Amino acid sequence: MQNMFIETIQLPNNAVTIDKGEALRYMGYGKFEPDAAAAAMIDDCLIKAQAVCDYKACFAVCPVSVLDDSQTDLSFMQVSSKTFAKHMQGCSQAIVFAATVGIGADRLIGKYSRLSPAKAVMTDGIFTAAIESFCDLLCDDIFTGRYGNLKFRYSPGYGDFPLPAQRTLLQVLNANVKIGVSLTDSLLMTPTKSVSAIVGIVDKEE
Amino acid sequence: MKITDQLKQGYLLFDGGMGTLLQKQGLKPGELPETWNITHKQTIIEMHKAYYQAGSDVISTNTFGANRLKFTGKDGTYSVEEIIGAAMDNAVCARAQMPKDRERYIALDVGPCGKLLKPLGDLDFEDAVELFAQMIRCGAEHGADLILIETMNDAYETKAAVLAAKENCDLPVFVTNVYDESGKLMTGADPAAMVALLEGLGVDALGLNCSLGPDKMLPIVRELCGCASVPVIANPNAGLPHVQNGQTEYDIDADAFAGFMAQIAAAGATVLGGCCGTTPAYIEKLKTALQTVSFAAIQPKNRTVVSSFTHAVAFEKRPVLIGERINPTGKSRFKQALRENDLDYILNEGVAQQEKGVDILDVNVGLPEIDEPSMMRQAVLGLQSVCDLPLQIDTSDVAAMESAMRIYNGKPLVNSVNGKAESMHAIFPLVKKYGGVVIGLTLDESGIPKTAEGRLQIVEKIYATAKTYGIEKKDIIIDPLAMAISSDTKAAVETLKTVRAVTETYKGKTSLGVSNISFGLPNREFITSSFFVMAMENGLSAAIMNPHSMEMMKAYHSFCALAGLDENCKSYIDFATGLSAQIQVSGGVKAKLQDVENPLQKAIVKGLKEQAAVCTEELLKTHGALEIIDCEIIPALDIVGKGFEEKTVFLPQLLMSAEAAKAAFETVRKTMPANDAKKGKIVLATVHGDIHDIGKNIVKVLLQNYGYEVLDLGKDVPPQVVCDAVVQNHIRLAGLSALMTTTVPAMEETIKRIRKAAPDCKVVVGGAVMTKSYAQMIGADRYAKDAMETVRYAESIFGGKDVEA
Repeated sequence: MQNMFIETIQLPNNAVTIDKGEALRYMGYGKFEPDAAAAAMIDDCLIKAQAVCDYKACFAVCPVSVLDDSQTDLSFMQVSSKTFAKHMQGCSQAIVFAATVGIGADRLIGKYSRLSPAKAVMTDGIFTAAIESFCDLLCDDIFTGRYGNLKFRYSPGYGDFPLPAQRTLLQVLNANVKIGVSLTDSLLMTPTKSVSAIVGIVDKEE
Repeated sequence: MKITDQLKQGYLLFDGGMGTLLQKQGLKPGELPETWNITHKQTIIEMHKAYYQAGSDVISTNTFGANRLKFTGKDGTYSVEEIIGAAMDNAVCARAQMPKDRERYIALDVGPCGKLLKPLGDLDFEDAVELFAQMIRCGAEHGADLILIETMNDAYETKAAVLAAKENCDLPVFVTNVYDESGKLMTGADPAAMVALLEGLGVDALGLNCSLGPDKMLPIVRELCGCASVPVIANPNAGLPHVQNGQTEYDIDADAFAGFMAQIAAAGATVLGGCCGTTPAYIEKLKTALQTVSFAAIQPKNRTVVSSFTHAVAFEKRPVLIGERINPTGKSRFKQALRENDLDYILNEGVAQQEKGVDILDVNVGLPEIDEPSMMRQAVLGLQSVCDLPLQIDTSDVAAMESAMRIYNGKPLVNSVNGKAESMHAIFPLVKKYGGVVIGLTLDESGIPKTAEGRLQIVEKIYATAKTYGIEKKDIIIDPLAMAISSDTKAAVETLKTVRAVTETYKGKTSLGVSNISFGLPNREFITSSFFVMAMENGLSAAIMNPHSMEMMKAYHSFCALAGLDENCKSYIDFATGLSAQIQVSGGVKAKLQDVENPLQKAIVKGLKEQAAVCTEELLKTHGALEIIDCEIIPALDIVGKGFEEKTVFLPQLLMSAEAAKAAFETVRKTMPANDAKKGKIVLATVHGDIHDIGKNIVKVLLQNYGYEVLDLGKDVPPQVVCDAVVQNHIRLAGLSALMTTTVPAMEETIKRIRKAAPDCKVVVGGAVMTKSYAQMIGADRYAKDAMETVRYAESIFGGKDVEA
């Protein structure tokens, strides 16, 4: 097998537009709008949150072969998951990536968590929206531009894809050294606003 | 020749990349490269030899990740000792095959452990120290010549590794960090902060490696060389990687690399090598290129500097402000917070002072009846999680001092040492070991000399004694002691004389706790602020002061503007214009109060914190405290709480109201006796393994609103700690939070222990993964889907409003 080539991407904090509607949803507003006082505080949090975002990602392309209805070989690991095997049908390559908004997010949430629970909930929602928006940008723009049609991103923990696979995934990407993402003993990613996922590249029809 | 001597005389060449070469030899993705020390011995030996032959003076062992997290020695895996033993053997074997024409060194390579330290991650600082210590002991036993701590992207982890090296061997310690293109570490430290931290810890050389090519490193090397007094190391990558014919290639070739490295050498770095993508060919070209760049040893910078985990603060022309408010002396509310272990109160004091513009926070939590070392540790850790200012560790308890200096993430200011032999012999070893700038008080066994001459004798004694411990004058700030002029009218004159003499004659730095000067006089701020200006005019480098005092801030900003220390008068203008805006706002709030019915209730419902506090103050002029609580605050909370339960009010707004209510309570509290009765005491904790605590904090603020005392144990709390707290405090209700399925077993274990030790204590659980049936399964008494439900459950247990808040 050839070596996996790991590429890193770092984007300035104004390169990602945080989806505010999503952020409100994470804060628990659903379809409702915050009142004026809350809206003002949310806008203030959004500015502070944006300022500390430090978007980084590392990724590699790996071969994919779906062996049967529950086994998928990714060359660096074999995944036992029916939902994943089904999802990867029609792909002979995939992008493995890890992405993060950086440690500044945890610092800001942590600070507010001690000082203002309202702002903690707000920034938490904003950063969750930020990592999602960043992943969308990676997949919809950067990866699609390079590799063509993609399946939606699939992370350990989705369906019956085992969560511990995350450890292998981050290890093969050298994510700790490349972008500072690591795992706690309880398989929580740090910085917490991080994502690791596999994106199938849809085979081009001949 | 010793490597530390060689550092002074010429360039020292490191080796280049290891990982990329091993991949070319067949190392598989995800395979641990360190196992090759045993499985591919000869390959490793040849690689070391190739670097020696190319001109490397130092080769680093293949032990980057050889720590106990990766090598447990269990289940057929190798142990740390096996891997490092083999790696050292390989290096020694390679060196033995070289001609004896010059010195060749072996560095024990120590990389990051792959986990983030608490509080942002789950690895304890002391566990990190011990993990590195094991590697270092092993390398030292097998004959390493130096320790190379490299590729560190977190200042805190770097400190843990350096401490481990200092405590477990006598070898020279070299450290390189990873900076990104913005010139910072992943955890936010800039080059000046790293220089302060690392020089404080006594490393022999420092610098950067990996991540960037030599071209991108150049500006960071310049910054490092601009503030470092020890040799600077640069081990860049061979530029950026790309794939070519299925192989990873780098875009800067050996010739171009050598060209950039000559510029890096000209910028002042003297320890040079490569990282990812570089090969022996790169080192060979580098060696040739260096022949055209004349060597100049780095010069001592003599800067007095402290640091936080993000930045350094230097004591130069502009006087440094040290916020004095985190100190219980004379503050009953603060003392109460300390006794109740109410850390949030202290953290708020810290953040409020930062907003007023101080550079450093003084931290004094001394109270006879509390465990000061433990409290100091908690306060330092807490402050580090809410603000990025350097801290001044202020205590007379040497144990508290050491425990705080050890876990401090940076180079602290230490308050204080004095001219007494006992004090110097206790404090100087700590400053030498952990790094720090120490405040030296001009008093000794015979007290405080009345005259400047007498104090200067003590200054000389402090400087001289520090020197015997290897502490330079730059790391001492003299405090010539401001004494009350009400008892001695000459007091200020002598102090100012001492400030000037230390500045001019000794070229030293000074600091004063300025407010003492006005003790015993009316309207103290008039005197204090004038004295402050006089002291600054006499050369004062720093002041411990109250940033909430308008007179003091006016004096400070005006002085800086007048003394030419404020470019374009920018700080002054910001300060002065910000001030008039502030006055207008608070005036506006008061004016509005007149036209609204139940203004406090409305402020709380709307979640307006400042307004709630102002309303309460106004109401207190005409109403009793209990009346305000019962007729205004509680009804407002009920309105919002019901709205939340009926889904017309959303979580952020519920919390804004809770905070506004808290502000109102704080204001009311000022008028009530210190020990106001509580409904009951509740323990809260996020369970072991879980580092999320937003949910728990939400529950906490609401419970406090409803009059309960909350013993908050924090996050990632071991089961036994929760259990002990329940037993010791005779707790009737404990709340546990878990966010991840992986931490539910820890919750179950915690409940089991509580059941056994305190069968009468009820346990309520909550968190993202919890459900009613899950809660039953693990033996909880109650599942609460949100904070309001927890409050209702608490009300049912403690029997409602039998005692006022």
